[in-house]
Amino acid sequence: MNSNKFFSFSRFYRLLMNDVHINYKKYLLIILVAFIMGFVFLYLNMPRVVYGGDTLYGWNRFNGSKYMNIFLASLVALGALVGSSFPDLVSKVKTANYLLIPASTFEKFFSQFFIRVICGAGIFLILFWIDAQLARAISVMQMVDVKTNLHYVHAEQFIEKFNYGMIFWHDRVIRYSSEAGSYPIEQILYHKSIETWGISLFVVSIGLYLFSVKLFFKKLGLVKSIISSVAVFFAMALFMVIFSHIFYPGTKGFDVSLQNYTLQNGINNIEFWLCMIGFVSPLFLLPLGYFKLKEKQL
Amino acid sequence: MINIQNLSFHYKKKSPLFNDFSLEVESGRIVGLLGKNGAGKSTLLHLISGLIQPKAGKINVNGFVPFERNPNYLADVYMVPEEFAFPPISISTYVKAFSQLYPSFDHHKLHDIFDEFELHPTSNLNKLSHGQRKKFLIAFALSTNCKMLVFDEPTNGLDIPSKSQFRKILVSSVTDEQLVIISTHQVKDIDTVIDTVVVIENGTIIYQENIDEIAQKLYFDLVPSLTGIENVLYHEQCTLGQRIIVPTSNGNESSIDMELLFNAIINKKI
Repeated sequence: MNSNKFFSFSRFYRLLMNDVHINYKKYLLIILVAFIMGFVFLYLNMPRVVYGGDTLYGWNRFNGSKYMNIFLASLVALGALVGSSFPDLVSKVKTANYLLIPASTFEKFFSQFFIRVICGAGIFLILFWIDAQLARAISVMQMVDVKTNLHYVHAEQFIEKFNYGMIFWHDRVIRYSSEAGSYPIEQILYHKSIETWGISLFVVSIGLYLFSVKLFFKKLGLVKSIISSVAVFFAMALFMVIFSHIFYPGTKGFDVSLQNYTLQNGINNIEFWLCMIGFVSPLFLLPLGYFKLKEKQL
Repeated sequence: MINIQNLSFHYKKKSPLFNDFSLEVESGRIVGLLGKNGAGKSTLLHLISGLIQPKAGKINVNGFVPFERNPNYLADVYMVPEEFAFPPISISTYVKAFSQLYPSFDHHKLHDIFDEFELHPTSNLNKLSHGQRKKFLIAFALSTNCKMLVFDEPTNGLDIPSKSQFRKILVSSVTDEQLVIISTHQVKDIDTVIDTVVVIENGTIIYQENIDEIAQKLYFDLVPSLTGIENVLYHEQCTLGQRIIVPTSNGNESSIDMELLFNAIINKKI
C-alpha cells in the first residue's frame, strides 16, 4: 500500500499554504474581531468601581467563576468557526474545484480539522488569555472607590489575575446532605471543575458535529446542520420522555424522570452522562464525515 | 490515455444517460467532444475527472481510476469548467496558492500566455469580466502541464480575437504527452485545433474519427448550386450557394468544415 496516496507531509503543507494564501485576510479579520469582541466582553463585565463597604470578598469581585462564565459564552464563537468548515462545499461549482484539488481526501479533511479545530482552539485560548490580561490591566487602572473617589488600592486583588488553571482545575465545593444518620449532615466534597470541562467539550462537540454533518448535505450545509442538530436534540428529549414513562410509570406528561446521584469524587451522574453524550457521539461523526467526503459527488 | 468500458450512468430519478458506453483515446491528442445540448458531454467530463462515480463499467485514465481521486492523478488532471468561481484574490495570489499543487507547473509559460491574453497579475479575479476570467483559467490550465486537460465549453464568453488566441496558444503549448479534451457545442471555434472528433448523442458515440481520416474520406466544398454534383452526402444552403460534403475522389483533400460535418453527423447523413 502506498502511503503517499493517503498522506504526504509536503502535499499537506502545500494544501495548508494554499488555504492560507487564499484565506489569510479572512483569518486575520476573524482573529482581529475575536480579539476585540473578547476584550470588550471581558472589559464590560469587569468592575471598575467599588463601593466603600465592599471588601475583597464583595459580591462583584471578579474571580475564577466570572472568568469561567465569560469563557464558556465565548466558546460559541469557536463552535461557529468549527461549524463553518469546508466553505468550498457551498455550491456545485466550488465543490468541483475543491474535489479536484490535488490532495488526498484525508489531507483535505485533516487540513480543515487542523485549521478550524486545532489552530482555531489554540488561537482562541491565546486570544482569550491576552484579552483577559488586557481587560484586567485597564480595569485595575481605572478602578475607583466611590466612597473616597480615589483609585481603589486593592484593585489588583479585587480582579483576580486570569490563568487557565482557575477555570479548568479549580475545586468545586458541594454541600451534600446525607440522610444516613452515621454521616455528617453537611459534607463538603471537592473535585475538579467537571462543569467547565463538560460544557467546553459540549460546545466543541457541537462544533465537531457541525464540522462533520455539513458533509452530508449538498446545499445549505450549515443551515441544514443546525436544523438537524436541533432535530437530534428534540429526538433525544423525546426518547428521554418515552423512557421515563417506561421505566418510571409515575411520570406525567412530558416530564423527564432522572435519578440524580453523585458518583465518585463528587461528579454528578447527569453531568457525566451529558459529557458522554456530548463528546463521544460526535467522535463517531468524524470518520463518517471523512467517508462522506471521500464519496462526495458533484 | 482514456479507456472507458461498458460505462453506465444516470442521475437520480432520471433515465440512463450512458448505457454500455465505451471509448478509448490515446495521449497526444486534442479531442473535440461534440454533441447537442444535453447529450451528456459535461457528464462524461465529470466522470473522466472523477467528480462523479459511474453506476457500472470501468474508467481508466493514465492508469488511474478517476473516482478514487488519487492525489497523483489529480495532480495530472486539470479541468476548466463551463462555470467557475474564484475567491476574491488577485491573479498573482491565486497562482501562488494553486501552482504549488501542480508539480509540473510552468511559470514562464503562464506569463507568456498572460502577455498574449493581456492579463495583469495584479488584477483582482472577481473584478475581471467573465471572458477575462475564462482566459485566466485557460492560461492556468495550460501552465499546469497536466497530462490531461479537460475544457468544458472553453470558448463560451470569449470575444472573437480571444477565440483565435485560444486556438493559437492551445496548439503551441500542448505536448505529445498530453491529452486534451474539449467539449463544446460551438464546433466552429475549435475546428482548427482538434485532431480527433467524437460526437455523442443520447449517451452513445455516434461518430469517432481522426481529422486525417476525415480529410481522406470526405471533401468539403462551397458550390453555387447542387446541379451536376453527384454523391452529395450532405449540403446546407448559405448566402454564396451550397456548402457540401462529398466523398473524396482522386486523393484531393479540403479543409474540414466542422460545423457542416457536425450537422451531417447529427442528421445521420454520415
